[in-house]
Formats: sequence, structure tokens, C-alpha cells
Amino acid sequence: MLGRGKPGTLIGLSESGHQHRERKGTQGEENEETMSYDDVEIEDMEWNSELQAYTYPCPCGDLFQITKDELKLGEEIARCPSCSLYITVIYNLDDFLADSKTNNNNNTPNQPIAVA
Amino acid sequence: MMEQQNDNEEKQEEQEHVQKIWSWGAGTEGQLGTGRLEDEHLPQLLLHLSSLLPCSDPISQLACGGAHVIALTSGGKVLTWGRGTSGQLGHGDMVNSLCPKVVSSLENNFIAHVSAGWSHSGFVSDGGCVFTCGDGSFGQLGHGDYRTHCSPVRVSYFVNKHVEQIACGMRHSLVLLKGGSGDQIYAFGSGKRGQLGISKDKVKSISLPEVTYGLEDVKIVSIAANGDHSAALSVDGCLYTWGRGFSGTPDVQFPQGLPSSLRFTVVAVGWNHALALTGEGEVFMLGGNYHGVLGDLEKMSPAKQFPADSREAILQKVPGLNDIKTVQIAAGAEHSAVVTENGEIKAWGWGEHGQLGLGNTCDQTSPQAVSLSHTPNEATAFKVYCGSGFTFVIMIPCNPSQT
Repeated sequence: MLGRGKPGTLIGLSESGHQHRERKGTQGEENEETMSYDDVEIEDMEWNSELQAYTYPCPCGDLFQITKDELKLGEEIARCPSCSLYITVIYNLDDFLADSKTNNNNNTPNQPIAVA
Repeated sequence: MMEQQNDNEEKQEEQEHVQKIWSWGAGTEGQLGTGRLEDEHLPQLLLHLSSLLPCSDPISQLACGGAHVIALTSGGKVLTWGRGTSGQLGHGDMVNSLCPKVVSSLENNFIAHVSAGWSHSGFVSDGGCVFTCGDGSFGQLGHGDYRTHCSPVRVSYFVNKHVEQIACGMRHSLVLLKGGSGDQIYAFGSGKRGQLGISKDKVKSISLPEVTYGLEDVKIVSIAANGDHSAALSVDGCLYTWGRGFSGTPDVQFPQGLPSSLRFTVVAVGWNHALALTGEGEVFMLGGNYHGVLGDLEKMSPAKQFPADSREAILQKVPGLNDIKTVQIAAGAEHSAVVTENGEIKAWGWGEHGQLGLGNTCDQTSPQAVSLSHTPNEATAFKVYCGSGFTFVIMIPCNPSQT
């Protein structure tokens, strides 16, 4: 939700109980200075094979995007290429580290985009 | 000489009768209908679009989605343009269209109502049939599967029912049936934030319509959906909302009537706010405590981020519209626009893409007048529509023969 900007304030507001929500500010000062537009769970993002990124709708009409490589590095900010907004991605880092050892293509959390 | 003068006069008269349409804001998917892939910070008069339509069949309604637009003419024809990569334009392909194109597969129907979601579209015929196309990966097309369709397909669930309206959100849809009371609103698509309102329990997604819960004794006259929000108005002016909570309040799994003595006539929803218009022409906003400060979120005061011990979002009167009655409201994802009784367009909210039409990219926390370089007179009325980061205005000629 909008405005849960400060890491830590997230805890207790979610019923999903993801452990990784307890961010320790490892992303640098950015999180402290500006606020994320929204917090989005990785399962609510869609894999876009054309962009090779997980995406989520941005209110400007474009898509927030984050790549698997970024996720593996522990990045949790998905940016929109068209505007200044970004979202915080809620995910379990272990899921992506384990995934890289098996199959890169089978990790689509939601229904894959059906392209006829 | 005389003839030429008459010609000129006729031409001028003709031009005055041609419907005027303006657009501004985010334009990189062709959604502004300008024929360009650029953002516009000031209203652009769309002469090309106006000239596509005969004077006898002007646009009567627009629907603006994530990055596409659906135009409905008074003769029941449908044109679409903008982003089409999910098939949401209904042209039978999955490509963007810079120019408005008729949705030819609907030409055997007289379409009476349209709605544009993030990447899907809904069309309702005057005979009560509902058609959907676009992204179906969350079940939001209502066909019982998760397939995407690039031409409108009739939703067979409603084959024996008379549909009146459809409202398309980010990943869900609402359908309002005509007449009667009870069992009137159906929902399908993603339900993760409670936006389907079909059960007290959480529902991830459904691809076949199900009736909403708790509105059995209420007569609903209109529905609205955007983002993960859903809303409905009852015949006696009560506003019901469900889905994602406003202003950081918890999500609501089924329709909740707003405890208020106000009587509303129109509701419009964004991704984090809702606007409601009263019969007296006053505009109220639900949620939206970030409305107009997105570009500078640090400006938010902590008190506004977390309403004191409240599980209910606060309904506030929109400031700066004092004494002037509002006749129409529109909500984009993060911006809003209204038409006042004296024919002014006012916009506020997030402005990064120029969607407020004020010639800049600033955010505004209160309504600001938009200049259309057109003097409103008694013979014209405006209608305003907001999508995700863009805005449209159409001039409705008040020709007595058409009313």
C-alpha cells in the first residue's frame, strides 16, 4: 500500500507473514529517502518474456520491471522506465537462488501470459 | 463571389457542428489519438478523430484504460486505439493502433455501454449482451478460462440475462444486470484484494461470473472498477465499495455501504482513491491521501499516512470547488478531473506525464482549471474521462434533435 515507505513499518500489516519483509536497509539510503508506490508480492507480478522481466502495472500506463538476475542479487526495487515511481517487490530470495540451479524457465508464479 | 461567401459560411457552420475532442498526458502507446507517440502537457485538439465520425454519429461515451481508449458513438458503433498488445482493442490482432479504428466484429450489435480496464475491454449491447476481449490471464474476461482474446467474445454466462453495464478494473470485471433488486452485480477475474466481493472469504481468481455477496436487498444503479477497487451506487444514493482498502485501511472482501448521510449520484474510482458526486453537485474523495503528492511523497505528513485508529477510510470534500456545482467526475489511476456547471474542466492529482493538462508535469493537491482554448456556451457541454496517466475531453453538441 502506498506510503508504507519506511522499512519495518511493513511488519504486522501483512497477513502473508513473509519473513523477508524484515528488511534491514541493505538497499542503501534510497529507501530511507523516498517512498515506494506500493509493495507487491512476486506472485502478483507477471513474467514478460519479451522484456525478460517480472512486471506489474504502473499508474502511468507502463510497467514496473525487475529481472531474475536483479532478484538473485537481492534487489527488491522494480522500476518503471517511463516515470519516477517504483515498487517494492516482496519475494523469498532463496526461491530464486534455488531456481538458478534447476530450470530458469519454469519459474512463473502466476499464470503465464497466454499468447495465442 | 456571393456563392463563395455562402460556401465559407457553410463550412464554418459545419466546423462548429463537428464534435471537438481533446486529449493530454501519457501518449507513448498511441492512447492520445494524436497520431504521435509522445506525452502532451496541454490539451490537444484531435481534428483527425473528429473528422472520422459523421456529424450525425458523434461520440457519446469514452472509456480510458491502462493505455487504450474505447469510444462509443451515439449510433452504437465502437472505435478503439492505443495499446493493443493483449488484444484489448478488439481488432483481431495484438498490436498498438495510433489511429482510432472501428471494432468491426461488433458492427452487428448496437453497443450501449463500454469499459476499459488495464489490458482488457468490455462492451454491452442495447439488447443486454456483454462482450469482452484482451488479457484474460486472471479470468477477467469471464469465459471460464484464462485465455486472451483479440476480438470481442460474448460472455455466454449471461446469455439468458439482460446486462446493463460492465466495469473493468486492473485484473477484474464487474457486470450489472438490468432492473429488479438483488443478485444484480456479478464479478470475475482476480479477487486477491477482495475486489470481486463474492464471498466473505478470500478468493484468488475466478474465470466464470459469480454474484456479489451482501447486496441482495439493494437496488444498484451503477458500478465502477479500477485498479483493485470496486464500487456501486444504490438507487437511494448509498455508496458501496469493496476490494483494496483506501488510505492504508484493510482490504474489504465484500460490498460495504459507506456510513454517510450524503446521497451520491455518480462514483468514479482510481487505483488509490474514489470520487463521489452528490445530487447537489458537491465532490467527495475517499482515500487518495497521496493524490497530488506522488511526485514528492516525502511531503506526506505521518498523520495522513495512517488515519488515527481508523479502519475506515476518510471521506473528504474536495477542496477548491467551493460554490461551483460539479456536473461530472472522472478518476484516473492517480489523477482526477471534473466538469463544472459553468463548463470548466478542472484537474488535480499526479501530473508527471502532463495528465493534468496544465502545461507542466507538476502534481496538484486541489482542482486547477484546464484551458481548452474553447469558450463554452449554452449549446455545448463537456465530458471528461481519465485513464492511467492521460485524460480526454469530448464536447457534446446539445443539438435538440439528438437529445
